[in-house]
Amino acid sequence: MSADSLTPLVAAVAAVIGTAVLAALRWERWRTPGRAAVTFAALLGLAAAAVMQVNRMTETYASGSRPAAAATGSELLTVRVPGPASGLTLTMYAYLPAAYRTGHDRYPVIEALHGYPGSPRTWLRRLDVQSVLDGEIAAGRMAPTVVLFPFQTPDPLLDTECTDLVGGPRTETFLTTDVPAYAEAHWRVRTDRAGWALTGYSAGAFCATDLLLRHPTEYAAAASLSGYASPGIRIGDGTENTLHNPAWRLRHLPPPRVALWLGWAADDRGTRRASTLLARLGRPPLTVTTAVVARGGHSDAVWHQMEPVAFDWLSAHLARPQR
Amino acid sequence: MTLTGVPLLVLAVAATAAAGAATVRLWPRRLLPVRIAGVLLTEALLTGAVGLAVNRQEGFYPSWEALAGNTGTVAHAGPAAVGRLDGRLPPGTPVPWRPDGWQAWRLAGPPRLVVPAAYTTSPRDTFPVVLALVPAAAPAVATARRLPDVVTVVAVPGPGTTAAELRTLPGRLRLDARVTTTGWDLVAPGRSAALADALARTQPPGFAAARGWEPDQLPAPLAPAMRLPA
Repeated sequence: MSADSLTPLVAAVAAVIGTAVLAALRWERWRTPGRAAVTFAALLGLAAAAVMQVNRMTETYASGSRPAAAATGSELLTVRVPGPASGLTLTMYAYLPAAYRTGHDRYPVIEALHGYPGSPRTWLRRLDVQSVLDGEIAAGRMAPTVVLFPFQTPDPLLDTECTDLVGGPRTETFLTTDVPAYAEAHWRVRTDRAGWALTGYSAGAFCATDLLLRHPTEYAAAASLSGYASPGIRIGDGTENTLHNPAWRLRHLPPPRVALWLGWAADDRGTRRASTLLARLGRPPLTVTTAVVARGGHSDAVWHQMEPVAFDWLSAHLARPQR
Repeated sequence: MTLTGVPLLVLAVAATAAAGAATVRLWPRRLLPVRIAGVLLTEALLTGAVGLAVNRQEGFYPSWEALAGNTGTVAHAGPAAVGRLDGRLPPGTPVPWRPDGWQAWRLAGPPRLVVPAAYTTSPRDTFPVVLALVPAAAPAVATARRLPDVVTVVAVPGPGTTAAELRTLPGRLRLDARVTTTGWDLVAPGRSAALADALARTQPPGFAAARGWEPDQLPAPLAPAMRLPA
């Protein structure tokens, strides 16, 4: 039984109903301690049910079940990536396009980052990323591309925002050094900057923008789906206000020669403000493309809508598979 | 009543309080169904009120439509390419190209299209583009014949050619030949350089002014030759 399956949620709801029945039946037979205990149990059950449902929506905790392997078509692999540079060892899902099985090309790569709270399983389950990528590639709107879905924290409740936290996990190093090194050692992928890009939703969108601006010699482009202009956490050395703050970087540092796609929902106030700020601050040689969904807030529905467009755009800004 | 508005939140809190008070008031009557229904209703309303407060604070779902997953946006995924001239573009041979409205570009003559050998052998691929804005067509056509995997457009600007008029050229070419949407290099020596820079600014990212014809001088044709659906 995994934390995100239906069973624990059903059990928590059953506990809520059970405590209500128990209290109704036995209230007069109990003294204060018994009544307090059943009240506490009822509230506990209610809180548990709410937490289980939120977990199901964000895919924060889940079982280690592996995506099913197919004999043909694209593949979704689960790997453990040891990080000699960062000292982190984290799970990563990897999408290999159908062409990977038969071709001999070295493919371009997109690193797709997740939100907080959350995990890469949101890409896999709630955003149906494998089907979306299969569809865009089959339609010719996207070149065959390897897409990586790394975890961004060793602790689901620790928000790293893809930075090297002072005294904490070195996630930025993991994502920009260890993950590319692992991919280049294990799969036929391009090893040049023109062949690597980033994307992400919510906190992952901040990550994609921040890492693109900080590592323009490693990535050519990034697509931000409902992203923020600052990390919203304390990194430990104050860089959340400077070097890890895309708005500050665009104001105070020479813009790098990279391409940035910013998408948001018009009714998502926070990311609308952040994305329009970044779009306004972007200047050559940095190029900015914007895309707006009419409504939908800060939700899976918006990212589902933007996801194929963002992948197509990234593919158009990435180097072709290398023959 | 909006999903994130104060009235709904007040209503939810008031309903929770009312359900709780009613449950307490009716409790001494020892009616089992009333007790169970009262407790469950109060708990459900409490959960709803907390959820509304959190959503109002964080703005996950700003409206009822958003909650229902309605983004109010329809995505149209068009065919990746058309290639109306496909049968009339022999590889390596310059073909005069006269799409509708080409005269508005005020070029010295119709542009020449040169497609690579792979254009015929890979009929489901789209190709990046080199747009050469050159003073004389012949040398550029000779160079274009040697470029692999790129569709070349050789155009000789006239005295009245401006970036604003040439802006429609990429869209026209996408109808007539299998070319990528981005990944265009503008090769423009001498006096055409300013025209190429201005044209690149009218286009989406992925259009770049190149320094020369050599592959390492062409920054834009990074766009993959893409496979079209069968």
